[in-house]
Amino acid sequence: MPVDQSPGETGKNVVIDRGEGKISDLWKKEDYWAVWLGFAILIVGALIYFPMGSSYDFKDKKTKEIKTAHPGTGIEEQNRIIAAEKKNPFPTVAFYTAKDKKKKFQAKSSTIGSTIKKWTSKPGTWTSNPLNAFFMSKDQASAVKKESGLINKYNDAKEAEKSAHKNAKVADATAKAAGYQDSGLNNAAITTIKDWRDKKQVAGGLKKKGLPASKAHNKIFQLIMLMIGMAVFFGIGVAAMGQSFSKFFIGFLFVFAIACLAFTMANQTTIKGLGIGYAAWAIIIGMLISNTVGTPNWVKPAVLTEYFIKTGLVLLGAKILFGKLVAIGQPGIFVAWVVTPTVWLTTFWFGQKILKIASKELNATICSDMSVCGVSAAIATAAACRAKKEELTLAVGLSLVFTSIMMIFMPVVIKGFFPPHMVQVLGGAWMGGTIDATGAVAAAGAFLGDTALYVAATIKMIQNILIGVIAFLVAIYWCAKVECKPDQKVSSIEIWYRFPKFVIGFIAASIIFSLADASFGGDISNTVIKQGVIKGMSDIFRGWFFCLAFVSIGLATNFRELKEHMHGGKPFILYVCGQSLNLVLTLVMAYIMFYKVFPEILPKIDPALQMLVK
Amino acid sequence: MTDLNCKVSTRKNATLTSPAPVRDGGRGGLHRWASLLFGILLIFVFVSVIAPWILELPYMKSVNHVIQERGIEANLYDYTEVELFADAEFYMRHAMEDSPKDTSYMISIIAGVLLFSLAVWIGYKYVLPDRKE
Repeated sequence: MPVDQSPGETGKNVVIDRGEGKISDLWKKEDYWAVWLGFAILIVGALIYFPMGSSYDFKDKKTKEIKTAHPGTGIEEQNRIIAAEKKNPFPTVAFYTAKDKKKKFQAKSSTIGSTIKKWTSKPGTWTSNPLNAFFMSKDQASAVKKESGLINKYNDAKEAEKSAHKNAKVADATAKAAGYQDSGLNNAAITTIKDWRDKKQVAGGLKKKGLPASKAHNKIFQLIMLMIGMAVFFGIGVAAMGQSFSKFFIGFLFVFAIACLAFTMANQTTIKGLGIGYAAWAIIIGMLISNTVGTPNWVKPAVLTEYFIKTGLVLLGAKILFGKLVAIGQPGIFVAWVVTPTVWLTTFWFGQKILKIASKELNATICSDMSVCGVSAAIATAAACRAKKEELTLAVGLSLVFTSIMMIFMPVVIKGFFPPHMVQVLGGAWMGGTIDATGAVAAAGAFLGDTALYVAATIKMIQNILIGVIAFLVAIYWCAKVECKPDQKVSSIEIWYRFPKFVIGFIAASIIFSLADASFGGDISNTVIKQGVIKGMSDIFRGWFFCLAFVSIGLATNFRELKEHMHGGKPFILYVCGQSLNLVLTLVMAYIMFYKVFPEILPKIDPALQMLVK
Repeated sequence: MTDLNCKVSTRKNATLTSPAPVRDGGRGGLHRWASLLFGILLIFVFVSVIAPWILELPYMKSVNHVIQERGIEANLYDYTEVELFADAEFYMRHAMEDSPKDTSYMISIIAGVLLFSLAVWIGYKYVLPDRKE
């Protein structure tokens, strides 16, 4: 796009663009390459996983045999049981068993899915020896198991689950024998079933968390192959855009190695407990290098923050499914969709008018990361309004710090000050609407209880749908208002020229996958889209791409420039004020919606209230 | 690499793709490597001393216990990566299945979307400052 200097503005360093689009932009511009690369991954994912709705092969973990799963008929069978059991006054053992069986139909568990997972896996969990993230021999694995007592803990939890299951079945059968007419027997059954589900969660958690950390593995070869594969993948676009493929390739090896280091740090067990993720480590390690020994010149051709971010964002679009809004939206849409723009706009206005923050881009990035959902929203907004890398670093840093604080203190406040019958639903909604990072929402919710976790997670999911909408609106606002001369009217075609095209890819991915989600229908869609293309393909690569982007940000960030943005602590004040407003509005809105407008929802989502009603 | 610098701006270093910082020419090589080693030492102290100490604090211990026990990936950023979010969706879908997706249900969803649009329109028209301001 050619750039002119306005004669009247000469000397003021003001540049005005003259929009122009060429066919060659399609293969010469980074935004388009992000779309092509992102869609290439999604299309491959769709070709692999979409046909698995009828059947897929998987390896049985116990017998090690290859078996065939039939999601279509299997899910139908479980749905019949669920429909029959739903006639009973409370969720029975058979109901939950059928639900558990349904959940096992996941296309990513297929033999192809497992192979993709194996060849794209990140460095693993470790406790005291970081090399264990990459390599662990059988002897080391058994030593870790012995030392940590993981196997014993898991076996104990499994035994407790079995025993609770037995009790639940007995209590359920007794209540059933009385025709579910005896409220005493019903309540006893509800309590024992809940106990079984709790113990099952604990055993499942230990299995997921503990056992993989103590399994023999060697990821070194896979990581090297993945590094080469990704270098070629991004290198094709780099070469098409006129840069040197070989220089990019060599530099990429370093960026990828730092990304591995960032994942390794994030996967240390203690660090996981504190909620410090890979983004923080990628920025810290990158900045440590760039501000001490300096980013080597041969690495710089691969420090392509926007290229990695935009490709990752196109992949992110695929998981923004609008059908979710209709399926689970009613309890949370007002909390998530009315409060969020209100907080965003008020905070942005406050930042511009009261705090007089010099950079609108920094202001917008902080507003999104604070009011929508932390890191993902910050990345999308920063890319949409073309924020500086230091501004994104600052916004993400603020979000990470406050997320950790809120994850710890919000459950305390809720437990201490909320009436007991409001702890689960109101507390969950409050946390889901205000805590930025989803992992932290899950942790804080689980600390209060299952219902709080589910409500918090639901609100967060509904809020997540806004990432694309907010990025789109920010891009429009920037093109139409911010990036123009005073009193200049910007035509639609000018807006199109200036519009960041990757946002179109992001929205298109969201719409296409939402339509696919609707056409497959709830359960099959869950098997092939959510537990297939998204979790078995796009999520894996998106994680890597964002990590590469954050490493690039770190490698290109200067402490001094970062300090300039912190001038007067304005970003901090903006975040604190905005988050305070968010806390108040979310609480008020959640109370009004759950307890005044839609009170009939409460017994459906809170079993304790269900028991009281029954 | 990017063509996105075409804006009315006095920002010298616009966009996420600006070049990596230039090393401070006034500092010697030894000083730079010493700074790097000091940074690594700080990270080591944080991971091996400070972080475990924080998790041993009375309240933090119970939070960490829940995180460990439930296998929660507390440091992940996307809900599709967190297993418990799938459970939550599953639970909520079933809880909401009893609510018929009738007119009143859809009206409430549409009302939410309309309120969102109204907030955005008011914001765009009256709250968001123009460049000239």
